[in-house]
Amino acid sequence: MTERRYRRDIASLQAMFEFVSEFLATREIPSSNAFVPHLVLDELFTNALKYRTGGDDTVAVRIGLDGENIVLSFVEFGVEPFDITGIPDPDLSGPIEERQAGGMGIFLVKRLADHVTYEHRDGVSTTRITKRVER
Amino acid sequence: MMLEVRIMEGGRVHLLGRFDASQAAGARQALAAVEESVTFDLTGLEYISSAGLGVLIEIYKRLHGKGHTMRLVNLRPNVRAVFGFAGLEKILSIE
Repeated sequence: MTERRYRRDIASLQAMFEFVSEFLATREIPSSNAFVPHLVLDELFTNALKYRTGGDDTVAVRIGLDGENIVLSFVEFGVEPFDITGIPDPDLSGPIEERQAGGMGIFLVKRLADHVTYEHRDGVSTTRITKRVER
Repeated sequence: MMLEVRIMEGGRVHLLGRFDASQAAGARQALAAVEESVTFDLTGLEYISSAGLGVLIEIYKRLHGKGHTMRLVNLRPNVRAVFGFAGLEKILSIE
């Protein structure tokens, strides 16, 4: 796995996207495969910025390949647990006026990734997704 | 790549580039002028996340409340998939 650290600032998002795209390019993986990892980072990072403000001022992104699967981890330091795998899905059945704000980003992560796991140990929070490469 | 908002004549707005969380505030500001029925042409939109969906939903609610309509046309497959997973294909007018 290759890791980079970023400041907890929305301006870091573009650099995270570039990191993923560069990794895929060096492995000769079609660029269309960046869509889901980009969206995962977009959602997890903005969620972290909104709701976990007391942690370390950097986060980490780790990316690697496990066979034909992209493995992507988003890591926060010095935070309380936030396990997205346990968050209920939003109710999408009603009219849009009745929809509660929030929850959609995490829901999209869980729907678009093939697998999602979570680990919290000693203040280090790691959300890990896998996504099969499409060639 | 950033998000570009092009407001055209005749109620058509082009969104080009990437509608990610870092672009949402600017997009909201640029689209505050949309007050009547609108067609968003997403031919050039490569990417959208929940932040972008949220801005479009805000606009839909604002227009719908005044009796106006909002259409989304020419969605790329990945973008259409995000709207689909979010359950918005049945609510918004997507062509």
